[in-house]
Amino acid sequence: MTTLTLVIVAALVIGITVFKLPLRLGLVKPAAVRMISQTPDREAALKVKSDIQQAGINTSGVDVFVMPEKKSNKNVLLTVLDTSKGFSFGNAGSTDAISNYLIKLASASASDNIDRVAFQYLDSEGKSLATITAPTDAILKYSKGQISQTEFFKAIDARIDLSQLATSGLP
Amino acid sequence: MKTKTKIISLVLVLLMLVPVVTGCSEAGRDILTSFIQDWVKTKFGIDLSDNSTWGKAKAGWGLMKLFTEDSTGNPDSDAALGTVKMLKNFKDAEQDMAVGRSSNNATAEDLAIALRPSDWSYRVSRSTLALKQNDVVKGQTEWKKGEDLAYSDQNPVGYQRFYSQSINELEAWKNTGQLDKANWEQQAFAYGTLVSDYVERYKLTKDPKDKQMALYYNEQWTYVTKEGKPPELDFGD
Repeated sequence: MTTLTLVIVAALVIGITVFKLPLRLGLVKPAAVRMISQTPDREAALKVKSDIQQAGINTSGVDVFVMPEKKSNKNVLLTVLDTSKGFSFGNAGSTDAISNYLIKLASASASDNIDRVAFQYLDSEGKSLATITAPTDAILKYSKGQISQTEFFKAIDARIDLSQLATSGLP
Repeated sequence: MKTKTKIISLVLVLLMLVPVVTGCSEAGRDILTSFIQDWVKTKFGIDLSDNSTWGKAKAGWGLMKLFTEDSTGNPDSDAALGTVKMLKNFKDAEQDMAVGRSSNNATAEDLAIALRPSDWSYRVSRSTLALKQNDVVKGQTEWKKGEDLAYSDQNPVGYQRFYSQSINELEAWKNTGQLDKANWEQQAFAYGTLVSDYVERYKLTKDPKDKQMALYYNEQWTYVTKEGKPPELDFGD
């Protein structure tokens, strides 16, 4: 009886932690679904967009969304940078353009309770090439020289649409 | 066998992609590619600039492992990355709701709600519209659903935003002069809702102006409903 109980408990633990059964069975919604179904803070998004514009960031083709986090006063800043609608990083050729962009986004929205920044980059056909995210804290520390570039890069996560990135713009 | 074939094909595709990725030529894409090269090298030790056969194979394998994983290992990153991908649906819903709000179009608002049923701000607008169109029951139902959703978000700033939106929409209607011409049932619900909105927002803000407005609308409600004496309000002081 005890052995059977242990086996059941072990199976449950493995099922929940390794195979993520609650998620697969639809008992728990994925984190992204939970976040997108929250009501966004549209006023904050307008303010952030105005703040980043005042900070000298090009906002043509930029959509800004502020998603509140559950059980917290913190928000996540999501931006879509659409080249087909006029977005450009501005400083073409600079290898630090992405880092600089993240720094500008984080600095401009620092007063808006944003604790994470993410952006999706769309090419001239409006197709997604990559989505990049980092915690605001790490971005600001890097901008002040408090952490190295290696530490900063390790704090960044991304989803790359590899085939799209490779073929984007090709005839 | 099927999985094996899939993996081999993926490796081959990636092997072909690596040199393309490292040699593309559009300004924004170049910046992105350059950043990705630095990032995967620093974070995962994958060197995309190594053009030897072994180097390409290693990079291809590394990329395949990296980009076929469901999770980054950081739940906050996963949520942010996954959410951005779903913004298309969100933008469609926003467009429908904008049409609904600007032209008092219930069908457009219902379409938006169908796309984003958990968005309390849509429910507030639908409630206001129903009320304007003399469907008081629908107005009440949508407002209640909205309030429940706002509380289920468990974000205190959200509760305040909910009451503020309800106040703004009802007062905007009142300012057109249409509310005063509406029937008593519409007026009673609008003023009753404004009382409740201001009382609840006062509990969060402790702003004396909110208390003052709650008392003002309480008198309006009493006048419309001919209740005689305004009911006592619980400000939680």
